[in-house]
Amino acid sequence: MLVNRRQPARSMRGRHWFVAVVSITVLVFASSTALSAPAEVRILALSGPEATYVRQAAEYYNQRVGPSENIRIQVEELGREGYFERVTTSLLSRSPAFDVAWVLNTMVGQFARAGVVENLDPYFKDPKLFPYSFDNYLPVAIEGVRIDGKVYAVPLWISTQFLYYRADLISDPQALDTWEGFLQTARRFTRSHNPSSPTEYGATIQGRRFVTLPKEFYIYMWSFGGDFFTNGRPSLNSPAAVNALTFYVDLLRRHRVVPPDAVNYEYSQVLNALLTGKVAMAIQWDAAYNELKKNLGDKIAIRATPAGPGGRAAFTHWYGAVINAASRQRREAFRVLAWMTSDPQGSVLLGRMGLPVPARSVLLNPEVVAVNPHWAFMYDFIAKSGRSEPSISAWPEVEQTLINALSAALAGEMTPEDALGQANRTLGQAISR
Amino acid sequence: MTIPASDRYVAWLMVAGAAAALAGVTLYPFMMALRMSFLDIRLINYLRNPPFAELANYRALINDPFALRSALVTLGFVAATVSVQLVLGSAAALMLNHRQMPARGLVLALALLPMVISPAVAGYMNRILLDYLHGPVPWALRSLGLPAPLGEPLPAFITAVLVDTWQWAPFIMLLVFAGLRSLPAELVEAAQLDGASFWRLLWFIILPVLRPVLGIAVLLRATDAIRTFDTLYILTGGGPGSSTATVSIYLYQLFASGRFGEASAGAVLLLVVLGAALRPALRHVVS
Repeated sequence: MLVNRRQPARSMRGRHWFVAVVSITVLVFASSTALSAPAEVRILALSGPEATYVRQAAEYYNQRVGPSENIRIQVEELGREGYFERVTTSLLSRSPAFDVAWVLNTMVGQFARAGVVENLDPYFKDPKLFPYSFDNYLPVAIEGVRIDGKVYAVPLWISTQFLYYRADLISDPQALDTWEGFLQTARRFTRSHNPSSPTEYGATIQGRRFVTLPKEFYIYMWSFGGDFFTNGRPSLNSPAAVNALTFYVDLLRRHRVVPPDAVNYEYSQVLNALLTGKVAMAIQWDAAYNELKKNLGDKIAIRATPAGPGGRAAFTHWYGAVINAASRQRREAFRVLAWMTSDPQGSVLLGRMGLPVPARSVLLNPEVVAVNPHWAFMYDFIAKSGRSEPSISAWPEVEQTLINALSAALAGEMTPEDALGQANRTLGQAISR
Repeated sequence: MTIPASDRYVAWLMVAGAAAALAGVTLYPFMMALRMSFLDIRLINYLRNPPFAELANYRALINDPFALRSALVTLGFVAATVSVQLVLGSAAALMLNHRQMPARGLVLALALLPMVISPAVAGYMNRILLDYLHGPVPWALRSLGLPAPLGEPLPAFITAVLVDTWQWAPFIMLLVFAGLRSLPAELVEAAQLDGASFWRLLWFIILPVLRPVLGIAVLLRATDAIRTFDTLYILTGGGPGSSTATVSIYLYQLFASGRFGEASAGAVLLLVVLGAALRPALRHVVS
């Protein structure tokens, strides 16, 4: 009996063709879907007002702007404790897990020299990526992120500290123009000195062993006439700086006009102390203004920090957004940052939310200033008295030594002279490298 | 009885996977840290060719006053936490083991709750409870004329010990309780029949029999206490001053400020010191 072998072969070929056609169709569909999927730009931000602003901006962008740019923003919020360390390890590991990170201006130098963040000059010069005016950024903000002549971060948030005080309790705020007046007012509003004081303590400080401690101390140091360098040589332990630290420590240890555990306070604890009326005044970041005003209204007001023998000082720093050199969508990440800081729509939106982008279109925009009335004061304060930390790549080492030394002085473990001596030695070693 | 070669081969094969994984997560990082401890390696040259630094990192640590302080704080913290937790945990276990203890299961479950909280959460929780202006604990302490728990170095150190004890004394309690449950009843009954008081029973019968369990408890808690980081970092950041800045916090801050070489040297030194200190203890416990 003959077996017809042709029929099985023909049906097998037909089946093969069918599978091939279906596979190709699926592949084409999948790749076209992948190609048309928006690029997802992942931004790391600190938990707190920082992440809040970025989330709100991301929501707006993803709905109104992203579809036309084919870009989508995803925000990853990290806890404040350990945030900068996490960013450092991620950048050093060359992980493409995120595209943009908020960093302080003092950190940009080391990241730039390590080669882990993108040089942004080519992006700023490309009109397709940056069709705005570069001069819109405040020069002080751009200079802070210009390393070896190249810009490595997009300035995102300029920040300073005000003296917040209870305007309903302190009837002579002019007394707060000097440190002596500040101390006398603090004593008047400390219950252990004045039993009829409406507040428990006159003031508070940010004494926690954290990055905010030295940033508050610099205000005292500069206004007492001290500085990081004098005639090109480290001078953190100059007599003026030692006097400043002595005054600062005495607020806690001698005069007792600040809560005894102010050595454990930073932004949140100082904010709570003001909100709950436990203290009459405090030096605090501009970021706290809107929340304090929302809760206390006209009871809270701001002034420039007191002046001393060295004049007045507005500690100024800014967050910059760096682009991860290992990111796979650096162009898209830059487009997002350009929109946030320079686009008339984006930057003003962020400004109206409360983010002080260091750009003229934001800080000097009447529409934005109307919603953030303290910005006019902040701009003026920074313009007249703004000072910032030195831009050296080993700054984090110096800062950590300062944190340890200042904390030791506050705890009474070291004298102010020894504490600043230790910090000055570290500064000398850092610049000699 | 000799084990056949084929069985030995299979046994080694079964252990090989776990050994490789262990080597990967312990030996490799240690070798990296050892290498980095001899390099002048910082954040800015991490991805480039950092130069050989000989013993400069080790010298820098020895000359850093904060390094010595952190070592002393760690020693004090370990001694205080282990001894307090041993006493409290053992006392709680004895109470729990008492034949007239009511609702033993429920009490045990409640007592173990602090242990299951993440150390970071424990740190945050206690930081809020201990806030001088708003926390209930300082409010109660003030009425007794006691100082702010986190305001000065010594109170902050004591508070850190107490917070750690609150969280980990139940662990000792659990170990000792398990030991007590396996205590031969005849020993205790015989002693009681002979008229032994509770304290004589405890000192001459119970504690000697429980010595291996207590040894393991001390060893485990001591190694944990040396490594404590998250609770302390959240609670005080290592302050006030350096009163709660243990070696873990000190090394973390070295790393965070980009001093990778010194941080690695510190980690290697810590391992060497711990190894030397724990070896006799481990031998004693195992024997």
